[in-house]
Amino acid sequence: MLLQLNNIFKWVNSGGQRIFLLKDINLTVEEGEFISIMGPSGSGKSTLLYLLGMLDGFDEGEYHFLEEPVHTMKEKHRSNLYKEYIGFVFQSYHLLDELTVWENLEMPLLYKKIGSAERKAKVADMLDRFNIVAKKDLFPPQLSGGQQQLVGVARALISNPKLILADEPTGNLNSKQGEEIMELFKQLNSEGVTIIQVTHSEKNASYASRVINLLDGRMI
Amino acid sequence: MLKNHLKIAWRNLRKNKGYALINIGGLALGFAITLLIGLWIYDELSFNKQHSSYDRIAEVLQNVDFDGTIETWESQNYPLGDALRTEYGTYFDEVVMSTYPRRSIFKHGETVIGELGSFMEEGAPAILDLKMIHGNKDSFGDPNSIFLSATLANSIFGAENPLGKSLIMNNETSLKVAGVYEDMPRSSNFRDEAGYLGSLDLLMIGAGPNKKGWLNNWLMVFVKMAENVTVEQASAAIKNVKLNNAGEKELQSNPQLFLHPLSKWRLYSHFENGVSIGGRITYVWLFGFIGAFVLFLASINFINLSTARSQKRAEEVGIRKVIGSSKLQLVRQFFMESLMVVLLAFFLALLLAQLALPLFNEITQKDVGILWGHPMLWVMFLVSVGLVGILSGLYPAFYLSSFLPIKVLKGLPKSAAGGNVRFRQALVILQFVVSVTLVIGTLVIYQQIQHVKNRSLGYEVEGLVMVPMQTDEVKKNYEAFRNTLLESNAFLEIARSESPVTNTWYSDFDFKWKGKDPGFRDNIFRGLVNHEFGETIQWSILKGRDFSKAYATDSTAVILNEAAVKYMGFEDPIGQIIEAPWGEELTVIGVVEDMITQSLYESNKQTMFRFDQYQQANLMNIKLNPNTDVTEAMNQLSAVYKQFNPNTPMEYTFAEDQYAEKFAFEARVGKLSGIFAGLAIFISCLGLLGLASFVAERRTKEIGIRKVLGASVSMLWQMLSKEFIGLVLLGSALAIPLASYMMQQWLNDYEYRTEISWSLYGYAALGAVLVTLLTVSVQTLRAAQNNPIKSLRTE
Repeated sequence: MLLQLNNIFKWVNSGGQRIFLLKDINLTVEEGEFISIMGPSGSGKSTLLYLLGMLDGFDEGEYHFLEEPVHTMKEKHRSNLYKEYIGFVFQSYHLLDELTVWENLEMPLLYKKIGSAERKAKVADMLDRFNIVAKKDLFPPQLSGGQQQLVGVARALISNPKLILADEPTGNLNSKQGEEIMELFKQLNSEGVTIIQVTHSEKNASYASRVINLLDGRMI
Repeated sequence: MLKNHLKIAWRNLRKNKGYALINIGGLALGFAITLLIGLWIYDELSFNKQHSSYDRIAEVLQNVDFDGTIETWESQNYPLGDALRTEYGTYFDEVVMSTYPRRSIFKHGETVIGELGSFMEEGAPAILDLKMIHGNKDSFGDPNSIFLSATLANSIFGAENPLGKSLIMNNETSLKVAGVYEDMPRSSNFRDEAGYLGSLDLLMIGAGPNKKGWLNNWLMVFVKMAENVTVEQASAAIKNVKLNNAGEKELQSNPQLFLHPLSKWRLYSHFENGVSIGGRITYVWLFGFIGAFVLFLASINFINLSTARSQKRAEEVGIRKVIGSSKLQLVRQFFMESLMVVLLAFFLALLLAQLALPLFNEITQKDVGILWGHPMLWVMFLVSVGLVGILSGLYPAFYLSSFLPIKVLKGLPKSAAGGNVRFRQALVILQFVVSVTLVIGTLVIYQQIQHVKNRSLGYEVEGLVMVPMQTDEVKKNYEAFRNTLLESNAFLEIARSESPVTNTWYSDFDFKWKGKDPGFRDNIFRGLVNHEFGETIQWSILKGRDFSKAYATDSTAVILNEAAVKYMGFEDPIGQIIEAPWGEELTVIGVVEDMITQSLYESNKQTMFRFDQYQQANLMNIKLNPNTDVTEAMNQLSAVYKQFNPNTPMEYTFAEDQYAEKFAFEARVGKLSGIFAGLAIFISCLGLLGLASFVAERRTKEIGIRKVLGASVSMLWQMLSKEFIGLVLLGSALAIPLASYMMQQWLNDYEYRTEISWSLYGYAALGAVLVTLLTVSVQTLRAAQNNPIKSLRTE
């Protein structure tokens, strides 16, 4: 078991009223799963995703990640945990525009204080694997959306995470580019990486082995 | 990691070149100004400090009382030196009397050179801290020998050793060179006085009782105090030396002596009512404040501009955190970045300062250089770079790095980034308080200079050339020289006088006249002139007549100025008899319109123009014909002069230049404050630009919505600009009372001063508003012209 959510509630207080963002979420994710989270706008998909990624908190319930209780952890411990095991992919890529493709990929390794030789090897390997060696010295704005997202996925993968969280990874791409990314996810999943993605598209959702539907913060 | 941080910082700068330029440039400018002001202050404060007995040298001054007004005089009389030596010898290692610097002409072989120097007593080398190149200090004081500065020795003797060589001074005295000393440093009060040093004894040979008496103040007295004697002790001891020796009856003005130490000569030499009330030190403080303010403004600006852009960096912070950066690593990154930028600015500032030095030295009349080896420079470097770097890094480092990535990645509410608007507004107001104050200050200084320039002089300064008669040759040939000159129509008139009309300093006291209150202690300035003087300077006689050759009795005639008539209380001045302190009876033959013969900033002083019956006046005043070319006339003049006086080089001054000297200092201060005001405005505009771009960015969405709803560009421009105009007007409103108070204080130092007009404040505020509109419009117009779809869709 990779992670488990028990009776998770998340709310905000607005004008004397409590508005629930997530209500009583129970979810178990095994290693190697590929899950799509679906639902209309405002149903809490992204909130759930970032909660899983430990970037966002919750108000009630328990969250265990690799048997460790996330809900009782200190912030520092929590961030170490997600840095170690989780990679993020965003709809708008969120690459650092001032860094080249190579440097963007290198960044997470630098933060992990990995030695120069190993860094080079890993980055070169990743460029090779994603077929973007020719682009290594370009800056993100010089790439197409699909290529940028490719770099985004590569960056998420470079520190060998167990889990990839993707927030509408194809939302800014045309259908052909989107398809390529989905194929890539499928392949990664077959290599053993657990993937949870938020998507609007039925077609993309169908790449997953399991689909979770949310409505008004509730799993249905 | 370090490399990566620097790389990001560098690429950020390159990507936003315009922003980087104003941000770094503005800070560099601030640093450079502060550095230059710092150098100026350092130079002022270290003046005279090279003297090896800095703490023990002093000058003897006296406070004299003329009917309630206490004046502080530097000049002393000849017997004082001996009195101090014999009666108070225990207080002093040396007492040295010195003449005021005077020009002498030296001849050796074919070389003839005029130079300023002084005649002093034996102890001079200790007072001046002479550094000998040739000869022995102890040999100074022999009336038959002379010491020369290195520069003068070199221009007379060239490379050869001048020791023991002889030269002729002023075509009459043969002197042996007994010593050559290093030139006085520029930062020494003695510099002007020490081109050569002769023995005072030489001047006293054959001197009349007038020069030797207690009444004639014509010398300066310097002392080197004995060890363990304080200025206060010695001052208290010598207070009544003159009264005790000369008797109160002879010295009605109640002279009180005191010591003015070397450490105060440069900065604290302005006396009022007998007490030192500062002097140049005011300007040291003033410029110190300006420097600190400019640095403050520039730093605040830098911080303001840097942090206004943090919004852009918030996203980066989110990404970095998600991909594994710790908070500490982010803090370090932002500090590194701001330190790098500040470092860049500092080196740019050193370059700027170095480039501006020649101009700076010209304006300030100094010879400063960047003190590369001085620890102060590097302390300042560390402090300012560290402080500004840390302060400007503080905000992004701690505020931004504390953002939860989820917040920034999901899209930050615009108001959350960039900090408090009120704080930024307060900074802009403060900046304009400072800038507008400086602008008003500059305008008032210029108005005051214009005011004194427009003051009626009472004589014609244009085309008046003054040539000193330095040797007997010139005096002997005066009449013939004058007649020859007048043959040419390039010259209108030539006359002799004791003092230049622009600087009449000599005074006499203890006159007697009908109706004088017996207790009245008088002091009347003296113009010793000959027949043609009035004609030459074109003064205007109001009553009576000018001196004339037709009246033999004019040898004891005097002409009073209006101030003197009032001072002496004459109802009908013509024909009044005045008894001089030396016994002569003088007759008033005329009254002349008041002339500015001293300071432009003071009221006219009572002056008595006396006919020069013994031909003591040694200055030729030559009036050029305004219709002749000046160069042409000067060529003629020097040719005729040379023909009559082959052994005396001609030296000349234009009265106009001396007149300009009177406000040279004010003009210099005005120029400096003008430059500072301009730079302060410039730096403030950078601050405005920063705030404007910040506000425009913050209100992008609002602007977009307004545009969709039909607002025109000009309406939006008005809306966005109005806010800034308000800030600037508020700043100006605060600056006006501040500036008005400060400038009124400054003006109060001048007896003859301008009124600050209200329109001047209006112009300053209007100027600030216009500059603001111009600056802000760059940003607001751009924001107003943006396509609303773009800004609305980014949400």
